[in-house]
Amino acid sequence: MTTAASGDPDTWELRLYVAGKTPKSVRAFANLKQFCEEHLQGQYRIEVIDLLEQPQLADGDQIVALPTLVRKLPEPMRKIIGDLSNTERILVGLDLRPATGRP
Amino acid sequence: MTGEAADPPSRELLRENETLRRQLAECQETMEAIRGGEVDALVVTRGGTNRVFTLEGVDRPYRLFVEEMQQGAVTLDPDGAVLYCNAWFAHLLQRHGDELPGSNFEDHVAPASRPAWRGLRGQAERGRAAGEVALQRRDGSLLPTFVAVSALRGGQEENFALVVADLTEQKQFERLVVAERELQEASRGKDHFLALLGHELRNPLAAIRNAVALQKQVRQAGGGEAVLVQAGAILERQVLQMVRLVDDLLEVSRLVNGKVALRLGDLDLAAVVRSVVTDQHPLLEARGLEVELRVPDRPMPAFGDAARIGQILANLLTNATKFTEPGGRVTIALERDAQGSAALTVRDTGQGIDPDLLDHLFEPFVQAPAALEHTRGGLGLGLALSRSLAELHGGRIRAHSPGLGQGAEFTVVLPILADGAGGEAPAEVASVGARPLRILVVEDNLDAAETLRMLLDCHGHDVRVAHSGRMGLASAEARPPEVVLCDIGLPGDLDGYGVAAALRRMPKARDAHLVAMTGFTGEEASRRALAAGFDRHLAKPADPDALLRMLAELGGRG
Repeated sequence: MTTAASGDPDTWELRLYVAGKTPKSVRAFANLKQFCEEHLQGQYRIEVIDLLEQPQLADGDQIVALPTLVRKLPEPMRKIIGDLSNTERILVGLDLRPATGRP
Repeated sequence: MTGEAADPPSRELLRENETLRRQLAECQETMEAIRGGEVDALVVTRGGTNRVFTLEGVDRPYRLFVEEMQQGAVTLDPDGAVLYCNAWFAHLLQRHGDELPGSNFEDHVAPASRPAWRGLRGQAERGRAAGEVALQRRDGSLLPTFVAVSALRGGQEENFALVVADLTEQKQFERLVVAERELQEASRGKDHFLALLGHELRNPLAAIRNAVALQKQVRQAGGGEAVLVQAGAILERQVLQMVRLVDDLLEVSRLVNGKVALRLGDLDLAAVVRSVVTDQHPLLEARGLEVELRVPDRPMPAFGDAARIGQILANLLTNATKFTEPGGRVTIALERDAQGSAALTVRDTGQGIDPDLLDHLFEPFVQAPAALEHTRGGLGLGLALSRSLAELHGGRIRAHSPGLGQGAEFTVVLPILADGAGGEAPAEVASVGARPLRILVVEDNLDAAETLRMLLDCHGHDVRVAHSGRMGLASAEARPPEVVLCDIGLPGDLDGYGVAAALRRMPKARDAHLVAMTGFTGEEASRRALAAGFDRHLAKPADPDALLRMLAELGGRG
């Protein structure tokens, strides 16, 4: 699943690992879409990988729990686990905002 | 991490430290996410293979759907053993849910459906397959179902998921649709038949009405004896035609209801065939047909009802006459076939039979399609009658035609006696010693009563007529009859059965010969009449010749 431009060096490449249509998988995708439209408009790409269909693909990014979002680009790679319902945590996890209360 | 310079080894250490710190954070986040209920599926790696487990509760709605739905749901292991089934599937098989897991699914498939089931499973290994399979229930009954089979990939072993839909109602519906269509066809057949019947009854009626008008004209204007004779001949012929039609109708109805009994006896088929052909010869000749008869000289003994076998042949000859144009040829052949049965064949050079019609030819009310005004005469009952009569004899009848315009061939196959035990033909009733009799006619139809009185009068009998049961008893009291011809359906409180019973109790009349005359035919009507005290039962309209012969016989006896 691809959204917006690709091949652009400024484009964020995001990969969402899900387990079929479990409630959190469905919610994670909806939250991610909304988040990207708000904060990364026109410069992101989302790839959804369903591990129920292709469980071996868990190996590449060492996924153990679902849903999990992986930021492939820009480097370095970042992971956020959960249904992405907390926007603040996404901003911090993706290094879009410095963590508060962190050294 | 930043700012101050460090020695290369310590920079390396710092980077390693940073990576470890990042990994630890990731692990912590994962643990927290799991403990915080932010994930609902886990990836488990075993033996190099990943499997995804969804957490309890995630699929609860689906489980509920599967348990509650009114379709069977089953999972099978690669050997076909039931791993799981829902309540509805157990219900379909009339079993408890806990009996089924572990059993082999194929054991619940009806033996005749097992090849189909194996085919479906084979196809499902390449994805998905669906088809009809009959299941066998606990009580042994069969259940028609539609089974969709899907391979469940993703684990180490390949399981199968089945969804089973009960087709009982659909099958019933399909049967109803077929039955309804058949009923509609039958109804159309009957409609057509009624139209034909009206047409066929009208023809003789028109002729009869004309003949009656002729007689009236002659009486009023005087004149031609020849015209009267001709009118009389027309009346006789047309009445005979109507009697035949009505006989056929009643006969079909009796055959359909299984009420025809054969008068079985030893007979010579060759003689039966010869005599029928002799009787029918004038008809065939009048149509301008050439007749060829191939019958063995030696008797061909058989066991059956000579009159009925004659009827079969007469029907086939009538049929051949109807459908063959003048100048054609009709061949009648009797021979032994390879199985030692008698084969009676009637072949004509007529219009032949449409192949589409061949299958329905022997069903009642079927005739080669034609506009009503161009019908060939008859009701299309002859072949139906012939088939029923042949089957009553343990035989069969078949039709063959190379096609339209190429003639037709009917073959009757009848079982035959191996050795010739020739029977004697029943002796003709001798019409000797006719003597005038005192006859009482009890009949409420004035015309029928009057014509019967006239007929008996003409032959010298002394006839009294009564129009009701009571009047009949009064007449018998006043002048005891020797013979009573009594209708059954009579007006008032006394029907024909009551009249017979009362006469039997009347000293002066109890020795009279009581004859029941009814519109009912068949064994049942006869039995009932005899039980009521009648000596004999005649179906109306009685053949005048037969009636006179009976009276002559009674007169001779008295």
